[in-house]
Amino acid sequence: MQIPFEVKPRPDTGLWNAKLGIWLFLASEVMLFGGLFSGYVFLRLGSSAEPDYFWPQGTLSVPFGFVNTIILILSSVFVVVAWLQVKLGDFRKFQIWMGLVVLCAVVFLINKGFEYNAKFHHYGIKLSDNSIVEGHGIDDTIRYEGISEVTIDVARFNGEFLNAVAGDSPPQFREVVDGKPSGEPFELSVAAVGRIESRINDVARAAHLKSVQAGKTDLDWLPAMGVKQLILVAGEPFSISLSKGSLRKSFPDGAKFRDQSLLKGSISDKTPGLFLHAVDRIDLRACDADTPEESLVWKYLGDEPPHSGADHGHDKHSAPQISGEQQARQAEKIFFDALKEVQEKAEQKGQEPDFSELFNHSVKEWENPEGEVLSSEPPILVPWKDVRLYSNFTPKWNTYYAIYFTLTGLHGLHVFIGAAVLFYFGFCSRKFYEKNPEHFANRVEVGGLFWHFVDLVWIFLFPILYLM
Amino acid sequence: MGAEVSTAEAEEAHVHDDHHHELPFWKKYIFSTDHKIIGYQYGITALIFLFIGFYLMMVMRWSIAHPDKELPAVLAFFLNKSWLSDQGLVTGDLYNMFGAMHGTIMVFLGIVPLAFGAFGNFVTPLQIGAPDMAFPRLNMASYWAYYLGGILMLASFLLPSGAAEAGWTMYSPLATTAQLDEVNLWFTGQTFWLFGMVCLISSSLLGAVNFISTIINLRCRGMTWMRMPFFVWAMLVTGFLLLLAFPPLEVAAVMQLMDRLAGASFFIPTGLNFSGAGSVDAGLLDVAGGGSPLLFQHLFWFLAHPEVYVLILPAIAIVGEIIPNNIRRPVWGYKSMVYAVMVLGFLAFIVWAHHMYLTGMGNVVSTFFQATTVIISIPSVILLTCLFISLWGGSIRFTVPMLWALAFLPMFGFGGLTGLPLAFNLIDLHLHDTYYVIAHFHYIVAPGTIFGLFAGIYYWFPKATGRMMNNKLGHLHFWPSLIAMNGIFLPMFVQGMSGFHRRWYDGGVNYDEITSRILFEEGSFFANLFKDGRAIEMIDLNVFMTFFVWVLCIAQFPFIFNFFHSIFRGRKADGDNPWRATTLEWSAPNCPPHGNFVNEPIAYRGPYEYSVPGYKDDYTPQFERGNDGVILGEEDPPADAAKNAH
Amino acid sequence: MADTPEEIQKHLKLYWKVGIILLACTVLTVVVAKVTPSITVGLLIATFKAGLVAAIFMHLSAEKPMIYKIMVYTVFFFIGLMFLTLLTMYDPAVSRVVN
Repeated sequence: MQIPFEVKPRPDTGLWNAKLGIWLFLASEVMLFGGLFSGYVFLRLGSSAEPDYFWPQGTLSVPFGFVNTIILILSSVFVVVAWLQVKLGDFRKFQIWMGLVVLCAVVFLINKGFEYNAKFHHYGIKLSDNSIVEGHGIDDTIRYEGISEVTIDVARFNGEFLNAVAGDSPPQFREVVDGKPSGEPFELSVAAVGRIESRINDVARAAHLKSVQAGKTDLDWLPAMGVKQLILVAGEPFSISLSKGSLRKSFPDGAKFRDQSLLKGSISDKTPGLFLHAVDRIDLRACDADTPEESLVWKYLGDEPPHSGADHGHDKHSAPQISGEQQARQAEKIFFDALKEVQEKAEQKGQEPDFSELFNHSVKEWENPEGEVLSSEPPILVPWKDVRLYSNFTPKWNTYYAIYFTLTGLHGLHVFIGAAVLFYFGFCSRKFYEKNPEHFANRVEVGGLFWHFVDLVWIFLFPILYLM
Repeated sequence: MGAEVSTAEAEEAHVHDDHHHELPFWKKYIFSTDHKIIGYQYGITALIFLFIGFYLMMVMRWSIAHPDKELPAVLAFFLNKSWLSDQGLVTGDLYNMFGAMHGTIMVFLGIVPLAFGAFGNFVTPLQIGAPDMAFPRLNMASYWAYYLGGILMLASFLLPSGAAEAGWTMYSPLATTAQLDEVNLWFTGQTFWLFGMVCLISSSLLGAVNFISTIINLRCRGMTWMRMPFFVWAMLVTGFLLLLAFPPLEVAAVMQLMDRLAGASFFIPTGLNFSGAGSVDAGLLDVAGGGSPLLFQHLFWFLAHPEVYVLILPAIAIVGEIIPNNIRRPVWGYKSMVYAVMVLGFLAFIVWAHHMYLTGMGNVVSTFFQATTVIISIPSVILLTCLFISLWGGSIRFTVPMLWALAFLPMFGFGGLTGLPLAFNLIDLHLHDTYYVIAHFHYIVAPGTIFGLFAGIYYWFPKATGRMMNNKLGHLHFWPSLIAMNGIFLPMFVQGMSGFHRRWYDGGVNYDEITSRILFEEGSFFANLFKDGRAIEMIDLNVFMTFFVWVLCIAQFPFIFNFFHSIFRGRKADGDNPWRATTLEWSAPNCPPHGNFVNEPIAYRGPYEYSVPGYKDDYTPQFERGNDGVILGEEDPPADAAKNAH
Repeated sequence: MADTPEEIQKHLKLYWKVGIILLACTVLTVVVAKVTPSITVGLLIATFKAGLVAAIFMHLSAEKPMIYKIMVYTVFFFIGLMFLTLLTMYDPAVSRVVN
């Protein structure tokens, strides 16, 4: 059986099937990216209505985006040229141009990879007064000491907190029954929890069966009647040390793991807070404090953690010739000098001062007044209680990066699939070409249409994400 | 003409040689590219999902009617027992889970695949005289994407978290924060739901591309636009609805996935304090905020309102095929119906925010959507009116498919007309999220669409299998179903107007003020009949409705038996055209072979030429030349061009 | 689409010309963004570029009416999606941000 109009166009519509199909598909793609663009506009305009949210602008590397735009435009030209070569019947030249298209796609994706990687290694911290600092080299190790009581969610327990236990010997636990430790000490594991669970449930089930026999109820034993939580006590208090990011929640007096295990203990003095090695940007636009001087940033900038066991071995970015504290005070002085300057200028002109540029301030660009070239990126140590949010520059950090990763990620997926299809046409379809060159030209045209659409989307992505 | 036929026959014989004998079972029935086989696959999978969705609903209705009674063993048998409370009752979580999955399964896995996937696939190419869909392999891919989506949805029931439980609309932030207490967020029902949706959406998109291309490009000789059966028109419009409306939901699903898995806050506003009823993670969420819950609702309803028409149009179209066939006269106002369905397809895209009156949109926008919503009722009413007027003066044959089709008309009318009050901003404030809304849209999709689909199954069964379905069993299926459907949904209007909220899992026992409203006074006739003279309250309707759910359940057994029995043992169909119908699918042999037609299908006339004066029979098929048949568009005979092409 | 070799050569030249215009426009966008923070100008240039790609590379300038119908239909709803959602945020009657 042969489907009609696979190669020649249908006379009354003037279209062959695949051409109609790809345009319909592109129509749905328009709506797909339309949905994302509408999300972008909604979030961006919505953010302007929120007092403490500022849409990040110009945070991406324009050269990267520029080069990628050029690459995609060139590949778009190459793909039509390749298609014309098929029409001219020159398969060799077609392969060369198609090879260039695929090469462009690969370079585009590698570029993208570098860009993503840079974002993954750049961190931001939002303080409790909504001040924001950004920089490199984070250390979010947190250590809890004096843990003796552990509450376990029986259904979810997976033993993950045992991996974080500091020291060599695993702690021994005893069950707590009616508020008192009872039974033999044992080593905690998933299997051990299972044994305790079935022991408790066996007793409860037997009691239930008795009440069934006594005619008090006719219900079968149901899982909801079983034990849900276990409270355990360690023989000797122990410590845990781990990255705060791997915790579900941390409290001053305890930590909760992803499997809902709750450990009671106190945060060690060795890890008083979140440490960022090199701050390169300070943003006080959303700061709650009455004046910029009162921002918590200045209080903590330059602090360094006491050297703990976990933190040894870590070297600073560049060998410091002056202390972090000195760098911090320098940065602060420069900041407020500039602030004054803005105020004075505004006074001369009789206008309200515009701090917006200043408060969104890049530490790197500041010159050292002594003319010395020292590390101008001070460290910061934010006590845990003052950390509202911290993250690398991933969707978690703010909605801008969320939409950036979603848009470019979906676009990258399109690039990847398009390139794979074009590669297949270019280098695995010789036989098909020889059998039916006209049909093959149609296929290349369809692939090309998709590729142009991918280019077209990027043409919009470049200005809205990189430039504006 | 004679010469043409013989070439076609020769080609067909050639086709037989090529394809028919050597295909192994798995290639013919599992990974098939034949549109009819794919139609069967869609149909059977979708019917199974319809029954699963029905089961979920039975559990929910039990909880509503008897919140203090243990779940009966026949329902509890299929349940994971750890979902029940320690008294064997349905818990709120379980109810939420089943509510969300009932909606999802019925809409995305049951009705759309049955209406669009199964009937669309089986009937459309036959009706336009095409040998297959334009992209047969894409067709197969779209079925398997649907299958994968269905598997993901079902698999989510087996996860420790259970399936999704944030309503079938999955509004954020509720959906984003649900099941956050699980260890691995990738393996939660909510996340599986989103992945499942991405598969289902991709499936529908591929299907839509295929349908539209097929209808535009593969019509046979003489099948001009205005000779297309109404069913094909409806499929074309449905295809466009799916094509353009589904991508925004895909975006929404991807964004919600980012929110759940990558910690983004697309739909989470700043400073959201998570009270987390029953959760152990109460407190400020560890996210950036700055997102907008409204954005999700926009993207969701941009799909979901057109989706409503995706649900109903195929059913109207099936009814539109069955009615002229069984009244033996042309459908009244064919062209009006075609234009109406096009207008419907257009307007369906600009009414979505009427689901969002309560979100605090601006007045101007509310007014705009209120106006478009009222306007969209006009084409719907045109369709219904044309079908009703067609009945006038016809000689009606009360066959089983016709019974379903006839029942469809008033049921759809009920659902549609009760929707009008909801279109108004002001009234919607009162009725929003009550059982009134439930009754309104269930009247459209349950006794509406599903009746239409049953009609279609009975109608095209002989074409697919060569055998008729049993008539008596058909009656036994139809009458109890009709009564039970109304028994279930009519009282919901009353309850809804008195303020019953749709999410009360205990049927409202904890809401004295509303549930104690009196329906029948103490000592009145009904009170004496049912409650020993005590007054019948609103809440007592729950028991009444749940009773009819069981009736409806039992009424489906004759159908299941009939369906399988008739495939093998049914009465042989009386020729290729047992209903004496006019459209092209009846010119193909029963159980059409790969490639569909033995003779080249040619449309000589319009689709519904019944009782044409001057003809011996009371029907003149499209494929019958007669003495007045014309092949329109003969100046570009597409069939010849196709032949030249190879 | 043209099928004789001469016409194809003509198209080849056109495609390269368009490619050069597109590259020039990209440089222009970056320059404009340095000079003025205006969003409109950037979007206008992008729209122009997109129009060139669609019209020349994707042959929309001489396509069949059926494709035009499909695309017009799509673009209409695209615009609806972009603007109607925004209107819910701004109420023209009160002309202030509502949410």
